[in-house]
Amino acid sequence: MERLAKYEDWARACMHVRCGFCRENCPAYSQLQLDSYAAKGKMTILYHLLKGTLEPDEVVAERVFACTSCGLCDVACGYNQSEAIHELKTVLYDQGQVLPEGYMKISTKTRETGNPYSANSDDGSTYLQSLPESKLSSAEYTLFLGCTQIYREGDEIDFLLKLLRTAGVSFRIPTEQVCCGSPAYRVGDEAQARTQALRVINLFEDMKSEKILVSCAGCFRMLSNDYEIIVGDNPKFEIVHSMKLLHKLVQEGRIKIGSLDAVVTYHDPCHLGRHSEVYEVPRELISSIPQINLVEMEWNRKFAKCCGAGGGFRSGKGEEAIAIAANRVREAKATGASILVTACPFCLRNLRDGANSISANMKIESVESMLSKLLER
Amino acid sequence: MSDLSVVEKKLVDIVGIKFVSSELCDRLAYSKDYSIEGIADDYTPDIVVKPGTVDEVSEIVQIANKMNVPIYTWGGGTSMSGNPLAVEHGIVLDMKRLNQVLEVDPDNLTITVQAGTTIENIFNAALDHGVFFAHHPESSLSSTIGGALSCMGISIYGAKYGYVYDQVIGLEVILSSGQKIRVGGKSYLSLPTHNLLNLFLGAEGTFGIITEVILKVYPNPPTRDRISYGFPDIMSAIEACKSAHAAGCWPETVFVFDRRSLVQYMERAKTPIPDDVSMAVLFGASGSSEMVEITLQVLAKCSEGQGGTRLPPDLTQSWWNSINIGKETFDQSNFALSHTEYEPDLVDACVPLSKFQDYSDFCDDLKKEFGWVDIDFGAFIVGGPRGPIPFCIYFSVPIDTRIKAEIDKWFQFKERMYQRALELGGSLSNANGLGLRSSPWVQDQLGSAWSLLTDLKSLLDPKNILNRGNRGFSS
Repeated sequence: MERLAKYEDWARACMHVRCGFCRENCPAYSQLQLDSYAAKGKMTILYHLLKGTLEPDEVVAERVFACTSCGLCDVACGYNQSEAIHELKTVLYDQGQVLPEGYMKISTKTRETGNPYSANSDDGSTYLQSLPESKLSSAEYTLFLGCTQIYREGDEIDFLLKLLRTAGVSFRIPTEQVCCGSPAYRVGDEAQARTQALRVINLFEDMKSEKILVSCAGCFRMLSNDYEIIVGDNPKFEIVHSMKLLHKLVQEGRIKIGSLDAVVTYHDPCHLGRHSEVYEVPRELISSIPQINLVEMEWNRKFAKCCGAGGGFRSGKGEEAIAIAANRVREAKATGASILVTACPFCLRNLRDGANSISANMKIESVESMLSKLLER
Repeated sequence: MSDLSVVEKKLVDIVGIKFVSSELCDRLAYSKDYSIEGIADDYTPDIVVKPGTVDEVSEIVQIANKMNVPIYTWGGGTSMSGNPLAVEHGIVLDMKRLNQVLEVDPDNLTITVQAGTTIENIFNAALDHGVFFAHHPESSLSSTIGGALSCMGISIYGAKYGYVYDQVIGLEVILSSGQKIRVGGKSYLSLPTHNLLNLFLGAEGTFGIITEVILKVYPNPPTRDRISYGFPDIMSAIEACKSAHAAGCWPETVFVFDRRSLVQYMERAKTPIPDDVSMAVLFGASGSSEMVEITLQVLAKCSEGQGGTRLPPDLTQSWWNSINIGKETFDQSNFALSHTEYEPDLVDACVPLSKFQDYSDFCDDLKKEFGWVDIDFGAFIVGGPRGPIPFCIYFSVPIDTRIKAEIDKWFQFKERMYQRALELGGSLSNANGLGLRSSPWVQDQLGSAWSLLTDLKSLLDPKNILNRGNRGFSS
């Protein structure tokens, strides 16, 4: 609990005020409905844990872990409540509190197999080794591919590779598949996240990589923001998101994109938007497609609503995660768009499931997928 | 099985297990509102229940009545008086699932909503239909209309449109027996006899539970603008407001802050405040562009006539942003930031305008007596359309709530302030609810009328299940 003492001021301010601004837009609360599921409720739990008027237990853990880590509460509050909630998860995990199975298995699987999907990481490495860029001994960029891309969304890798190869980008790919540690970190398993971080850092050091290219928003946030916290040292790598590089490639004319006569809307992944403040580059990239009409959802940029998948929520509260995604798809539909694009493979999966759950007639794809299919040369 | 276990099982039968909890971590979220009361004592309910329909509300009330369990109705939990706190524990009835806008009728200037609808959603639903809903407190994003009507509350547009009770023309209420009644209707004058709406408005759930509301909306003013002025003291700021009123000005926003309050409200925007500002007034005007322009001109003249100095536009904008918290501006809120060291509380008393300086001086002297010489309390005043302008004093209490003696000291201070307000011919205002905060003095003020109020309570709630032990009613 000492680790949480630094948040006592925030928790006390929350108890004083009780404004509840965090609650009305909280994705977890929208489905689970008791005030304790909103950030306000979690800060109440934190306040009473620190005060000794509440003991941590399985029920407390269930309430605390039911959080997508989206950070919209931070925007409303002014304090980074999501940071305090994350720390609370970590403390409960380290105490050995019984966590709901869905969250715990992310940790267990990462510890057992090196990735949150329990996939055979040798298969992942074999796949990476099959890519010609894994044979290169040097390149400008090292392309770091995430677990969701490798084990669940392989097509997404193909789209990205096609774009990079067409543009003649100098990049290489590691021969070993290593999870960045983000899923374990989000469910409080900081020790395993640190293990993963050190593996990734060692991998980059061994490869003498300086520029790391990432297209998964979760990996991007982890590498560019969280490694410094976890490892205690600022990694000496430049982390570049694919949106930024692709934007540059289009501007330089290194890839030429054909026209698309469609109304499109963009979903800001929380890890890329609110947590990394990358809002405009994806929009500029999408808008560079001739004839495209990019329209905004009611909740966009730093106010963007979460897809529902983050923070282990999809694993821990599957039905609720998909219901949240369905609401986001409804919001996208309300714009009149026929295509919902995003820049995170995890958002992509959840939004698709959300759309399917309500039989929404809406195409959902990644920016890379859309660009790749429109590639002229 | 204990009585509470039986109650819980019956509640689960009514609303389903997802919407009932007796877990401590869930109950604690309902143990404190936006007042100091919940820090001063334990008001944790035994059970939380969250119905989804009016019929479920009725069934829950029937169970509570039959089993003699007190029931405390919650909306957003932003009340500033402790009025929803579970004084005798029992059941907290969370109304936030009854959150539907049922009808917007621009032709007849009405909007019909369920009681758990947030004020922001009502505001936006009205705007979507081209009309304007005028009750807009700073808590609009999370506070519910049922809560606002139960404990009154002010609006940033209140100087023109009045208090929340001025917006109501019809109510649906569940009585303590579980019976559903409707009072008023969509016609603006649906009150053929005594105004029964007033039994339930500002009653903090003691006479019945509001479940549905018909509200007034207005044609949407096409233009809005605002200015702010700094003044050397309270009285010159008040004189400027009176002068504006005499000039025939009808601003929609009049907020009067002392420097301490202004500093708090600038905490997020970090907009600098000129050194010589002791009091400041934010004036807002709405209407046609010509009307807004002339209104602001007259307000400027009246302010300058009382020694006011025009404040920089960025300060005016930051001030407005910090009170006009909505869907597009909630990143401007400073609620939590300004309250790390300050517990919100208020002396919700209204004194005659001529006594305002006396009251302010008394407050200063009392602060010295309590040893709070170097501590500047935040005080602010909100203008409404009636009289010249009624005023309330608000405080952000600079005490360390971790120290019980500090809390006790504040309660002693507050008691002296309320007593003085009554001595000066003032009143408890109920402008932000009465609840636990102001109820200790309500019998003194009402005198012989108090027995009429308790007789009405006995008639409407014979088992005293509705908000038992709150608002001065017996436990």
